[in-house]
Amino acid sequence: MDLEHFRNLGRQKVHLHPRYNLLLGRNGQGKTNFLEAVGYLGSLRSIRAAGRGEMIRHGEKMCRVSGSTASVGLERVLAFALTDKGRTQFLDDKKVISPEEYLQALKVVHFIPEDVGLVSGTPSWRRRVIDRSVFEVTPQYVSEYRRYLLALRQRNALLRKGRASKGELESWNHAVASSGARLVRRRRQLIAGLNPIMEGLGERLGMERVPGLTYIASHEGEAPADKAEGTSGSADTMPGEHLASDTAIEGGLLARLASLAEKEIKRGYTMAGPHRDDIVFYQRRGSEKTNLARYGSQGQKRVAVLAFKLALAALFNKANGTWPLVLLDDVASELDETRRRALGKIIRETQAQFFITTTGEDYMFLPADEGKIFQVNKGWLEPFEASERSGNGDGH
Amino acid sequence: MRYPRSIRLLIEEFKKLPGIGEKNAQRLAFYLLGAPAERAQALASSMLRMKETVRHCERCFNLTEDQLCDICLDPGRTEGLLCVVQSPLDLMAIEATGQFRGSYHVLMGVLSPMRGVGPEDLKLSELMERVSEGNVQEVIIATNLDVEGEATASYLVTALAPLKVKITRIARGIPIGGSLEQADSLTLGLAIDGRLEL
Repeated sequence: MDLEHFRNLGRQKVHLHPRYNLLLGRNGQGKTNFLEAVGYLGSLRSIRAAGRGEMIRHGEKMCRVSGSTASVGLERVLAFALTDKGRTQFLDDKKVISPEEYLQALKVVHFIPEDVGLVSGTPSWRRRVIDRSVFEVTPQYVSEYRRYLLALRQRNALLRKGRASKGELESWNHAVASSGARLVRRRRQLIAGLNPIMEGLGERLGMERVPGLTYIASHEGEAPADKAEGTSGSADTMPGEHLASDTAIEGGLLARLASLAEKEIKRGYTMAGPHRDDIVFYQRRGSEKTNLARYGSQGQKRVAVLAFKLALAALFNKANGTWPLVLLDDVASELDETRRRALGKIIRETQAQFFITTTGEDYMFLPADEGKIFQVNKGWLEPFEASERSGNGDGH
Repeated sequence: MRYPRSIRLLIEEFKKLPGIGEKNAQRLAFYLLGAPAERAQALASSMLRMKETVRHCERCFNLTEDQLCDICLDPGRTEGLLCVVQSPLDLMAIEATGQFRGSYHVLMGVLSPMRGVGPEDLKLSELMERVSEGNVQEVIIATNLDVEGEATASYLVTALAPLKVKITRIARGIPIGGSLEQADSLTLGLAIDGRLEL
C-alpha cells in the first residue's frame, strides 16, 4: 500500500503480509486510520462512516491511497484520491467512473467496536448492512433495489394524494409487491447461508447459546408494521427461517398491502414491505431461541456481531471464490483469554488476509512466522521486533 | 468571447432541445449562420407548419394531420387486434417491424403519481369505449417494462377484465443477437419464466 495525506498517516509505502497483519500501538497513533484506508480502498466507504473531508490530512488539499492486490493469480492496482470536491477511483491506473465496477475488485468485511450496536440499534441500520452484503454476493441486487424504491416512492406519492381509486392503488400494490418480493427472497437467502456459519463460529468462540439471524417480514404477522421504527416489533417469538418463492412472498405482501390500504392513506406512506422489515439477532440453545437484543449481555452481542462479520467473509468467499479482506478493529480487548485463543485459531484457519488492531499486548496467539506485526507510532507503521514479544507467542 | 446577441439567443434555444448541449448548440447555430438564408427559412417554416397541422387521431391518438390517422383509415388493418402503447414513438417502433397488422391505441403516458399522472390523465376511457364496441378480440399491452409501464399494464388488466376481452402482454426476454451471459438476471429470470415449448 502507498499512502499520501490520509488522516494522520505519514507518507509511506507499506508491505503487508498476505495472511495477517497485526497493528500494535497506543490510542491515537493511527492504527484505525490505517484500517480505514484499507477499507476505503476496497469499499469506497469509511468504516467509521466519516465524511470525505475528514480523511484528508489537516491542511492538505487531497489524499491518495493505492494498493496492489493479488488473488487467484490476478494482480490489480487499486487507488483512490479524495479532495473536498469529490472522489476519483482507479483500477490498474485507469480511472473508473462507475463505483459499482470498482467495487467488484476487492471485497472488505470489517468489525469495529461500534458495530456491537447493530444488535440493539435501529432496524434500518441492520437492513443497510444486510442489503450491502446481498449486493456483495449478488451485484444485480442494486438494480432490483432501485426498482423497488421507485415503485415504493410512486405508491407513497399516490397515498399522499389521498384520493386514489381502488384500481390505481392496486396497480401500485402489484408494483411494490413484485419488486419487493425479490428483495425479501434475496435477503432471506443470504441469512439462510449465514446462519449455519454464524452458529458454528459462535460455538467455536465458546458461546453456550449460538447466534444467528431471523428475518422478520412486515407483511407477516401484525406487530412490526404497526410499531415505530427503532423499537422494532420483533418480539420474543423467533420464527424459523423459511425460503418462500417470489410468488409466495408477492402474494403475502399483496394481501397485507390490501388490508393496510385504509390506514396507509391516512398516514400517507406504505407500511409493509422490505423497507419496513427487520433482521433480528437471535441466540439459540437447542430448540430454544431468544432475542439477543433483549436477553443478551454486552459480551454475547459482541461475539454475535463478530461471528456475523466472519460468517459474511466466509459467505463472500463461497459466492465469489476469493476471500474478502477482514479488518478487525480492537476486537480482542474485551474478549477473555479463552475466546482470544479461539479467535486466533479461527483467524489462522481462515484463508483471508486480516488486518487487526490492538492496544494491548495480546496477539491472539498468532505465530510470528505466519504474519507481520507493525508498531504504529504517530502515523508511521514500523515492523515490530519479534524479540520484543517474548512469552507472548502462540503458546503451544 | 461573447457572441452577438442573436446568435446567443439561438444557441440558448437549441440547448433547450433534448440531447443538445452547449457544444452541439454552437455547431447548429454556426451551421445555420453559414448556410443560405433559404435553409434557415425552410427550417423555421417546417417547424411552424408541424406545430400548426399535426394533431392526434381522434380514434387512436396516433399523430396525424387529419381527423383519423393513416393506420385507422387503412382497410387492411385488423380491428380485432388492438395494441396499447404509451406514446406515438412506441407506435412508430412497432410499425417499423412491419409485422403488426392490427390497430393501435396510444395512452399518451403512463401512471406516475410522482408526476401527478393518474388514470384520468391517460386515454383510458377512450380505450374502454373502443373495446366495448365489441370488435376487439385481443388487447396487446405494449407499455414499457419499467416500474411505471408495469403498473399501468396491471391497471389495464383490472380495468379491461369486465369487458371479457383476451388480454396479452408483449413478451419479455433476451434480445436477438444478445448473449445469455450478458443479460441481467432480471431479464434472464423473466425469460426462463416465459419460456416456450418447441
